[in-house]
Amino acid sequence: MKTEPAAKPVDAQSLLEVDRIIHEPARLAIVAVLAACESADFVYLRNITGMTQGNLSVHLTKLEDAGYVAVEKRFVGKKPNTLCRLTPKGTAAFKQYRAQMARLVK
Amino acid sequence: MTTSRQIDEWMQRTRRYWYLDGISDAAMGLFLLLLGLLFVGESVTPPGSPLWLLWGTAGPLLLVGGAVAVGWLVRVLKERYTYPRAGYVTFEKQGSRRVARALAGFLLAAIIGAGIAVATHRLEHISFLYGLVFLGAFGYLSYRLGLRRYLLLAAWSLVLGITPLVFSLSLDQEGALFFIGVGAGMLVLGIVAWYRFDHSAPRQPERDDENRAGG
Repeated sequence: MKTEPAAKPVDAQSLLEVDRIIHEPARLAIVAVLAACESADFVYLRNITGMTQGNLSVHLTKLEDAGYVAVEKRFVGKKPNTLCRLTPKGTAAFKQYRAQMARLVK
Repeated sequence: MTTSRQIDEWMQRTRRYWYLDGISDAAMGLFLLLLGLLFVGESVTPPGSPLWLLWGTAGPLLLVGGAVAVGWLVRVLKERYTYPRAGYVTFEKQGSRRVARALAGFLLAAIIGAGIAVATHRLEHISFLYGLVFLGAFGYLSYRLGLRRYLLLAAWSLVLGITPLVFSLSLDQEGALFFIGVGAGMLVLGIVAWYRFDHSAPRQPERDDENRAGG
């Protein structure tokens, strides 16, 4: 009789090392979007992530506080515009997170 | 848990944002149409005509000036119509550089290949080479961005590259047919993409992101 292969043990240490700031799905979406471009404004981030204005603001502030995202407030014509970009620290954290995830699912 | 596929999807959607409104395609299509018309002018001008002086000057001017004009036109149109609706995104690193490098590589290969072919008279139908180069460029864009219209343009480029094999055309006529065909294809698909974008991205309210909490 065939037996089911035993489930691969999860590397607990790797799980503990996962960056909690990035691991949260909403913040991960923001970071992934910003990793694919040089900068994106608040309107674009809200459209692509589908978050509400308040929710996006809260997550951006957390990422800004962690030093992962730089936020610049400017004017385009007479309209205020909030431009976000991933910092080098944020880029490194995102790369590390993806590598960790890849190792975990292997 | 968010999967790697979802992360890739977010990143790809952002990369394709530049192409989504079709403005860059339409502008490039217009540029290629003008290039094709230059070939038409050359193909109908008899040897020794003073018009050759005009074509000789217009060619380099169109290539250099056209590239600058396309860049300017795309930027102005996006700032006027796209960014106020769907948000402002800038691309200067990673993916965009790789795409630019790939396109530059294809262009360089085309120029070198065309030069060798013309110099050695080995390749009678230069448009076949154009077709292969554009097939590669559009195919890469389709793979990279996941936009089906580039797959269509890749197939169309190959058709336009093969067509002169059936008919006996001069080099100028082949160039005219190819660039007018590809230019028209890009222009039409760019306009269709714009029409779709225009209907799917409503204008944002006036003071949309002014009061970002915590910002």
